[in-house]
Parts: sequence; C-alpha cells; structure tokens
Amino acid sequence: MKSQEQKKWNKKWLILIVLPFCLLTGCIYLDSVVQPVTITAGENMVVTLKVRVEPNEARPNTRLVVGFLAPKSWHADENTTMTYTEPKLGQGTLSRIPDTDLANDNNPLTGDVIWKEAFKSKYGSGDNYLPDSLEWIVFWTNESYLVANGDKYAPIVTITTKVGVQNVSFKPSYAICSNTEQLYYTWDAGKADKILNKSCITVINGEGDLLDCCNPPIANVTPGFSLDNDLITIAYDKSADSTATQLNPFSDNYLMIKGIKTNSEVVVAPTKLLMKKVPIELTNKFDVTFWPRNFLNLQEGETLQRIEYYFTDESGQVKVGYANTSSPFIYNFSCK
Amino acid sequence: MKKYNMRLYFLVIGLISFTLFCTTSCKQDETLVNESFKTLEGSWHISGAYRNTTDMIDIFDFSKFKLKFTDDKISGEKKYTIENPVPFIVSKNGSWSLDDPQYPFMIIFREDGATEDIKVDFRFPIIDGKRAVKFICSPGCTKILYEFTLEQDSII
Repeated sequence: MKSQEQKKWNKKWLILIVLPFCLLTGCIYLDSVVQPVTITAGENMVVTLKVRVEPNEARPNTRLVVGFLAPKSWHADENTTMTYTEPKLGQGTLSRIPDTDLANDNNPLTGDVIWKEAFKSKYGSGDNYLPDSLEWIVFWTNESYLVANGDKYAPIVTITTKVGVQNVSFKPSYAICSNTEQLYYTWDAGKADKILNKSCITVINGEGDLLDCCNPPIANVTPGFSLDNDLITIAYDKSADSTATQLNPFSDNYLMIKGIKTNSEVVVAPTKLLMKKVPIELTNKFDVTFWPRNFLNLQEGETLQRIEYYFTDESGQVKVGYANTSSPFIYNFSCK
Repeated sequence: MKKYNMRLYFLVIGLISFTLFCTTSCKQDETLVNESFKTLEGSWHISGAYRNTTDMIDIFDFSKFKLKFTDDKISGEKKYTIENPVPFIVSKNGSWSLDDPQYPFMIIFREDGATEDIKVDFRFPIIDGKRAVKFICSPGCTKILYEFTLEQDSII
C-alpha cells in the first residue's frame, strides 16, 4: 500500500511537468450545451459545450472526442471548426477524426468502424424522425494528453458550423468521450452525462420544402434510401395528420402511386395498394410493403427516378397529400 | 495414413465452418452440420426473408416465388428457372454452377444472354431437420442487404 501511494505521488510530479489533462471517459461529463433557438440558412451556427474532466486514474495519450448531429445537407464534415478553452490550460483546436482512425463498435460482426458510424451505432439519430437525413460529425483534440489523477478541468468547447441552405428542423444531439475508452467504457457506474439531446431547432430563410425531423411524419418510407429494385415500406401515421382530410381509421386505407421514370415518362399503378394496420391493436398507423419495379411493371433498361403518392380511402376520392396540401408525397430513389 | 489425414481435414473444416456459422443468429432450430453438400436440384421456396434487420416474411408476399434447379446428368447442363420473381440475386432464368461440388461456398449464376457471372456466398444449414439454403444479396442499393432462407418443396 505504502509503495503504491508513493508511486502515485511520484507520478503526480512527473505529470505536473508534462501538462496534465485528464481524459478518462468514465470521468468526463457534458454539463450543458448552449445553442441558438433559430439558425439562418447559409450562416454560421455557434454552439458551446461545457465539459468537466475529473479523472481518478492515469491514462496516457488521450484526446477529448466531441460529436454532434447535423443534417447531411450541411456537409458539416467540411464546414465545421471546433476550438476549446480551459482556464488552466489555455486554448486548443479539434479536427475531424480521419477515417483511417477507427473506433470500437462493440459489435463482433462489424469490427472497428469509422467514428461517424460508431456514434450512429450507439446513439442513432438522437430524438429525430427521418434518421437517415442526419449524420454525426466527430472531432478530437489535436493535442493528446496524459491523464492525471485527482485533477479537475472545465474545458469549454465551441463548435462553429455552417448552416445549409435547405429548410430543415431537427433536434441536435451532442456527445463526448475519450479516444482511449471511446463509446463503450467500463467505469460508467451511473455517470451517464455523455450525451445531451436538445430541443427542436429550425432553419429560417431556407430553400425548398421543410424537412421536418422533429415531428412524426405523416408519411414515412423505409428504407430512407433505396432503389426501385428494393422492397420499400410506406407508412401513414394518422396521429401526425392534423388535417380535415384525415382518413377514417376504421375503414380500409390505400396507397395510390404514380411512378416517374428517369426519362420523365409517367407510369400509373394498375391498382391502389391496400394498407395494413400496424400494429393490429392501434388504429392510427398503416403501412404497406411493395416492390416498385414489379408493381409499376418496369421493363429491362427502365429505371424509376421517383414515386409520387397519396393515402386514400377505397374510392380514391378522399386523398391525404404532402403537408396538408393537394400535392402528393414524393420519394426519390437513390442510395445516399 | 491417408485415412488419418482425411479425418483431420474434415475436423479442421468442421471447426472452421462451425466457428463461421456461429457468428450468425437464427430464430429457427438451425443445426450447422459439416455434411458434404448433396445437391441443389429441385424446387425451392422462400421460408425466411430479412431486409437488413427487418423480418419481411409477414409483410411482403414471397409465397409464390419458386427457384428450380436442374442438373442434366447426360448433357451436363445445369439450369435454373424463377417463377413469380421477388427482388433477388437474379431476375431471369439461366445456368448455374458451384465453386466446389462437395464443399461449396459460392453459387455462380449466369442469366441467359448475360456476359457476366453473378457469384453469391451461400450457406446450407439444416433447419428443423431439413436441408435449407441461405443467400445474402443486394438487388437494390448495396447497403441494403436481403437474407433469404430457401427450403425445398415437398416431392409430392
């Protein structure tokens, strides 16, 4: 016991010379995030994270890792800068973790993956609908540090990212860890403040139809990205439909589809597709799965660019369209 | 001497196969047995289907799909036909072969009129006491994986 204590004391001396910075994930806390309520298309969004580091074990060569969720249309990997300041240590920068540095995904089937994928795997897309529209942007400190026992640090991380031009609303998430223990640390023991999910934030002065990741969509297509030779599932959520033209959940509901080929020709579906109540006990959700190529009778060499669709009653007279308008919902076929 | 080597060979292959196959999970009673492969000849239907992690078997009708393999012993021709297609490895009829007749890891399909082969890894576990075939393929986007389990139609 005595010699151990002596060793620890000697280590402390050594570390004081070398610039202590404690980065054991189990002892890192994300105390708060300050972000603007509205953000303007094309301008910078500035967010500050208050982080606390209070380790009780030594580790060499560790970096603070900071990830945040952003719409894919922002291309935030290329449009983000991150810095930090700490009262005792001064200032530093963070950079995007290169794809050559991999993270543990806690999944023997996938092996190690790029950090963006590891965050996605652990945290999904936070509290958002349309999860495939968002991606994790993951940076780490340029400097790596020796962990010191018993030290306390309070770095403030500033994220500056350029808001894309698209009209979008989403619920941001911010998560931190260390590059040594990563996302699956062993000394968790109730210290769960590694991720903060914030409330909905909306882009103003943007272009195009609103991509709403905050509210349940009236229509939802799975997978989010697919081609006409995949099986796709289209769901109607009546509880998200606040219009007067809601469909009656106690009668049959249908999907009415039109296909638009890459040569701009229109293909009208032979019939409407009867939707199934999902799950059977609830009456406010319906879905149907079909094979677009086959259902719309595409020939070899023909490809669908998109489908346009409505949810209808049996007669086809009562139609639920996009955002409570008479326009159809649109699903474009693409793989990303 | 030869017999001893063969037994050792079987054991090693068996251990490797067992390890490989144990990394996948199945709901059915699936026994992974190192038996030499018998034949694909016959008519097969889809008994299981996943799109990525979603079980599709009850949400899309695969029941009319038939994949028939023939192996003409006289002409040596190996042909396959598809009835009532679904998104799959191939969409048209054609010919087939295996990378190894006794311990195959891949089926090679060639659609009629095509100039290229399509090679697919496959496994042939025993499910509920019967021989089955499992394929993984991406008929659409490459990130969307479909795992099909096929079982043979009864002879009657």
